[in-house]
Amino acid sequence: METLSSFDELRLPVALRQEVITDSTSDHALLEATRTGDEDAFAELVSRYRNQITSYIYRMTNDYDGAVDLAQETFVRVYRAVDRYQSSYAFSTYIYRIATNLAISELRKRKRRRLVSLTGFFQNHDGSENCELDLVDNRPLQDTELVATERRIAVQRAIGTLPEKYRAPLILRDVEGRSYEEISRILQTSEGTVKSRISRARDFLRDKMRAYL
Amino acid sequence: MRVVNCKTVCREIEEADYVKNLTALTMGHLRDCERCHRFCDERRKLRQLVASLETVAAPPDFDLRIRSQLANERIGTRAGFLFTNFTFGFPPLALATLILVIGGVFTLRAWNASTTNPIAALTETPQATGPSSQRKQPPLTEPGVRANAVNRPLPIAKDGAVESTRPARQLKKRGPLGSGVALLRNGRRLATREFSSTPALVVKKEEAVASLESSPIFPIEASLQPLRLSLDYSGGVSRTISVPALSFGSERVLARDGLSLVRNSPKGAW
Repeated sequence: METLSSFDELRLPVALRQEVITDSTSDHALLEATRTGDEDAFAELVSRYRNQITSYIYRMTNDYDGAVDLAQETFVRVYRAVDRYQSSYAFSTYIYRIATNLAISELRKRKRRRLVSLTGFFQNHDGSENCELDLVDNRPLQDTELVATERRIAVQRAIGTLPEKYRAPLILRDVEGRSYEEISRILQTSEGTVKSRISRARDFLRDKMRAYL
Repeated sequence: MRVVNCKTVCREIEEADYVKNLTALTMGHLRDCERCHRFCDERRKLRQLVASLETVAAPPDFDLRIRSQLANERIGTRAGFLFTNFTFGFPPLALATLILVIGGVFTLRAWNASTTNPIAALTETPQATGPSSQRKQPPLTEPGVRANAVNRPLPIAKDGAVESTRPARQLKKRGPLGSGVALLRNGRRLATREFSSTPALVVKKEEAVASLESSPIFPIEASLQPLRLSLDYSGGVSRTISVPALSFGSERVLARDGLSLVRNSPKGAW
């Protein structure tokens, strides 16, 4: 039996992923400055959240170029609606909600049109371009790093096969490290529903990733 | 005291962020229960796998793109109202088409209702020029009806005449064997005259104007005046169709034994 203390390993990636905002200016203050016409304040907001939002949408859509476009659209929408923004919730909740809606909308469009990203075949898995078409090679890899890469690809693909309603809460919880309360606000649903969906999503993933567990 | 069972333990593992957050009771249960321990281990590995996904960075020109897009939107707003800002999906297009079709149907029906007019057919009583022109024939119209008036519709008629002012329902109730047939089609009244019940002329041998032994020549009735059909719309528009009169006999030649017996028979004689 493994020691249960290995569960602590979960803390590290989540902590790394959370961008610690060291700047003393809060998001609300930056938004207030943006409202008065300060474009530098908005640029600061963009620089704080651009990687998080791009990464989140990329995990949702599995298409880097599309994710960048949608992230861009997310910030444009924030800017357009800056006058209507209510500071009752955290800004991160607000921007993640917009990003989630855009990503889900894009997924539904693709489902209707059966879209497949052509550029996605030629992208590296970290999002950079100029990659050869990556055909699936089922032979066992020797190098540990390659094994880890292959595992990440498999995870990403497995997440991509999840239904939308399970995908978003799982990514927000296990990839983005958001709390249940925040996820329920982002998805505008109850905490109980979020917990249930995350549990179902993990069951789905467990079945698909059984070889790696 | 709280009862610890496998279900509550699994739920706690599912919702816990880290193992340190698990209660002592749960930890104790995990040490004893193989099934729950396996579940905990499986979930831990799965979450590690998912958490191993790295953050994808935005492109370096991300800020520039947003600034550019916002600047373009400002210019577009100043430029005024543009249809290019709209994107039409299938539902709005379908709705617009439906509205157009319904509007078109209503307009067409309104137009039809305003232009529903009687179509009057006017016929002339043939004027025979031959000797038998005074023979009695079944009247086409009742006395008092000016059937011979040229270019005038018949407002009231019976037995084969056009009845334009009668309501359409009454017209439809007419029997199919009647001499007058009225049809109601798309709100328009179409009056026709049926000649099938009109008896044919009886030609007798004694009435021949000339006899060429076994081939007597009979006069036939042929109107010298053209048949005119007048369509009068209540909107003040009328149309008249004129059918020219037929003539017979002018060039008829009957030959017998190589001799031309009749070269030019009188007009109206056969």
